[in-house]
Amino acid sequence: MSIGVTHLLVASALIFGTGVYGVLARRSLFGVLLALQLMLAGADVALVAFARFGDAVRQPLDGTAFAFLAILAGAAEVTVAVALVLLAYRRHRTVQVDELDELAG
Amino acid sequence: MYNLAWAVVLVPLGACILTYLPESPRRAAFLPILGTAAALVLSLLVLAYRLEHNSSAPYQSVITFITFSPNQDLGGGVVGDFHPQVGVRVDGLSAVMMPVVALVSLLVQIHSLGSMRGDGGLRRYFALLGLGTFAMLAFVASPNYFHLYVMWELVAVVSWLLVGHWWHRPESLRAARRAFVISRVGDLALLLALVLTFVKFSANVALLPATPGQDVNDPLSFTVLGQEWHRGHLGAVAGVGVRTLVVTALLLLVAAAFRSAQLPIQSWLADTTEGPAPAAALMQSATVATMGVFLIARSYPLFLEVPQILALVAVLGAATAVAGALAALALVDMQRIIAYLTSSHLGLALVALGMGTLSAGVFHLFTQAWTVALLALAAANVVRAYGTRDIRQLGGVWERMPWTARALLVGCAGSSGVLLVSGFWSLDGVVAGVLHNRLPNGVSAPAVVQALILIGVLAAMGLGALAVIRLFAVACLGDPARRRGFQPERVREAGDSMRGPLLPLAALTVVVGFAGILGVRATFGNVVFAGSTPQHEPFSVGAVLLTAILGTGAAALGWLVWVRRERAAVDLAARTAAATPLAGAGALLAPARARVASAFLTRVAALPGLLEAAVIEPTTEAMAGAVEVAAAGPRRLRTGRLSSYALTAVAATALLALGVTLAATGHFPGVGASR
Amino acid sequence: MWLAPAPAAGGESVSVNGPLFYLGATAAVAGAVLVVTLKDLRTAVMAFAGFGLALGLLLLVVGADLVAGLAVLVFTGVVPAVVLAGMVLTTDPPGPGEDDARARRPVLSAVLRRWPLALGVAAGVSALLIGVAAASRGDWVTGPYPSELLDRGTTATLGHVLFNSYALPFAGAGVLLLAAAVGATVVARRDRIERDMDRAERERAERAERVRRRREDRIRAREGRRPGDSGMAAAIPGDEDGG
Repeated sequence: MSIGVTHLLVASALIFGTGVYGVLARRSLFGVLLALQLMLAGADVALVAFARFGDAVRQPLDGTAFAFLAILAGAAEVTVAVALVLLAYRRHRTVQVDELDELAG
Repeated sequence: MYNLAWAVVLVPLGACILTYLPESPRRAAFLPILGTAAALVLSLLVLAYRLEHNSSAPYQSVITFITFSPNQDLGGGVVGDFHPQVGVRVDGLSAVMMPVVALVSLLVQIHSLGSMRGDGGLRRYFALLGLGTFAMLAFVASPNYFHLYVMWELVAVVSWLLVGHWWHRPESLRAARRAFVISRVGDLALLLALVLTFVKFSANVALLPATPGQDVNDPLSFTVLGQEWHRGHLGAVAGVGVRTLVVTALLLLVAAAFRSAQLPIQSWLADTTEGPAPAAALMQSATVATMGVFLIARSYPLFLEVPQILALVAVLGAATAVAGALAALALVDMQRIIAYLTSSHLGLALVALGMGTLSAGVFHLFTQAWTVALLALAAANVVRAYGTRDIRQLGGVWERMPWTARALLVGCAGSSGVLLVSGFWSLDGVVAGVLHNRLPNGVSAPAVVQALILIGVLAAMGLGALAVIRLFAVACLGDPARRRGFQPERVREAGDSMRGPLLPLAALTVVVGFAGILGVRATFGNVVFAGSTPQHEPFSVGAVLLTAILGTGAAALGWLVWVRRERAAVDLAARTAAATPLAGAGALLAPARARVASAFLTRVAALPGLLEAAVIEPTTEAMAGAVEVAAAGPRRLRTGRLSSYALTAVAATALLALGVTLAATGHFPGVGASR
Repeated sequence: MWLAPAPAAGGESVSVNGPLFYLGATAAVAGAVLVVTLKDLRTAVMAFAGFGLALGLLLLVVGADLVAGLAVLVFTGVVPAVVLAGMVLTTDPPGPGEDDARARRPVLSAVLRRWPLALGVAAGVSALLIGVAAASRGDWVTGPYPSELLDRGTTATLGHVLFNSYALPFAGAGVLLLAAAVGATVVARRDRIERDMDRAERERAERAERVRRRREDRIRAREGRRPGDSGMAAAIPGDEDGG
């Protein structure tokens, strides 16, 4: 069977789902960050899939452009996120998600 | 021209509202004064016009705001529509009373400029005075019972606020509350009378042809009721019999008795002295206390149909007069003495009304308005200068405060009925009425009743004169008592604004008396009368003689006793000391009555508290507890942890996405694309 | 494109290399699973780098050259580097793994059981996405690859698209990167209080060090005068009497 868009979407879904699991289950903030990046990567794959198998005449490679910019944004995001984690560590002396529990009144 | 009456009533209201505009309270105080002065001028114009066109029918101008129709399904066909109407009515009674109210209010306000200077609530005080003036003027000019009732209540509220003006004084608050609560009983009686009248008469009135000046027939208007009561007595109105009239009259009497401080309920008038003195003066002389008498005067056609109630009115009035005079003789608080004297004079006015001489009663009200105001304001000056209300510690006012003392003298003369001063003529009218004992429709009270009333009236006059002379003698003459912190040399005459009003009041007290002279007084009877024709003022030589003897004689006796301390007179006084226990009892009765009343009221007042504790609190606690329990579950979701929040966020988003997908693909019936 | 088989005649859509796709996809998913399950964070970061490589292969197979290169750069280069730097700055020496968190402090049992819940949610999300993809299989528009694309190559076309249709977002991405860089620097700076505290602490440490050194010198000097003494001689009471 030739590779179609569905295969790519399944792969994207699996990567995305793994990322979701990581965000919810990881106990360290850095682990959460990495899983977050996984989610982003899954979205990129889906975008590229649509670009590849979409209407290449009227929207040539628009999906890839999106994916390009999305990856760039992801890079910026991880940088700022790490800076925030450093700040949080300085305030609370921990990067364990369970110990950061002051988000309640 | 009669339309000016609207302005007379509304200008003080506008002034009251405008009082809150100026920056400084001192400047704001002038607005009600201006308003009242304007109302005075206009009311004089209206009076002049009315005097010219005396024989014409009373003028009425009303506004109907809304019509309530009874629900026909509930069998409401018995009762007619209810049109609450407000307006003005200009007839002899209201045309005469309006300038009185306006003038006394104006003088009181001028007096307040001086005596209330520097008071913290000056703006509120003057606004209340303006409002009270409006309410009283509207009450006097009311065309029907609804309007009258509204203004009755408004005056009660204003008086409560004024008595409690210094709200940080517990005695003031207590007095204000007592006055208001006592007044409520009377108000309830008035309301019941209103409802009864409406229920009984509205169906019939709706069938009558419309009166000129009104587009709808108001079953509560005085014009209409004047005829209806008579027809009801004759049995011409369905469902109305003598019993209805008697009950209505009794209710009105109760209301009047409560408001005018008649016998069982005299103390509240004395309690008004806990508030600012000028306000108390206004309340006693021209506004609050006179409302009861005025109510009976207005409802005179009804009372004429039930002469036994009129006799009751006269008896009540006589008893009050005696009790009030006795209390005035025994008390030592200057302002309370004046209050009880007022109550006594109001009783005398009621006697005149009860004996059939409406104009004599109203004339007495008229003269006593000046006299009482004069006494109260002068007393206020003295109290302010000396710092004490106890007359035993006063003295030497004559030398130190000449104006006030002379004003006080004139007032005392007017109150006691010294010859030729105003009180003399009005008291003479009362006595004459008693002697004459004939209602306009020809009915007379039984001789026994007449005799009792006569004795009571004469006793009240004599004792009242004694009391007032005692007041003057003890307060004005002699030397002030030595008190700590009090320097008699420092006592000065009151300021201009406090002296000023005394002059016109004294002048009126003297001059108005001449309106009672034979030919002149008849004019009053021409203006204010019962029925459709001016009544003939009863004049009897005997009445004049009696009044002269009693009034002047008692005053002279008092002079001898307290001023000259003549031995013979003192002995006489000592022999009549039998009266003192009675007087003392009368004075003691007041606090005892107050205690009983307050105990009863406390019990009744505790009921809401019990209700709250037994019913309302448990209910609200249960509701709050239920909310607490219901909230405890969701509260556990709020852990404060980032991870749990992330979990809930992702899960919720996933559910939402699932829902949207299902809906978009048509799995939900009626939503999104169909499959 | 060189990974794709030779274009069929007639301009049909170019097919994707099957075996390579499965290789790349499996490696990517496996790498993702490793990233989220490895207990040691440093290894997880390495796994993430591996995932980045796999992702690059996958994207390349699909035909997005530029994006594949960028993905490798970012996912194998930027992300691990930054995360590792952060980890170094925040872990107490010697950097413990995630396991020690449990030993350091008692944690609620509900937290320990969190992973099933997370697994459930993640599985649900994936199932949803896959379900949508599968259910709408017939609706995807799969048009033919235009010949000019084949001639020019995807990179050139992508560049064309980026600088024509998406010029503004492209520039914006540049600004975004700049802002992120500056912002991260600012956010991560120690604020004045902390800097002052650091400085004060440092000075205090230096002062304490100086005092200690002077005391040591004095003791050494005293000890130097009586080389035989153990240094406790001054404590013997008999000395004071001089006798």
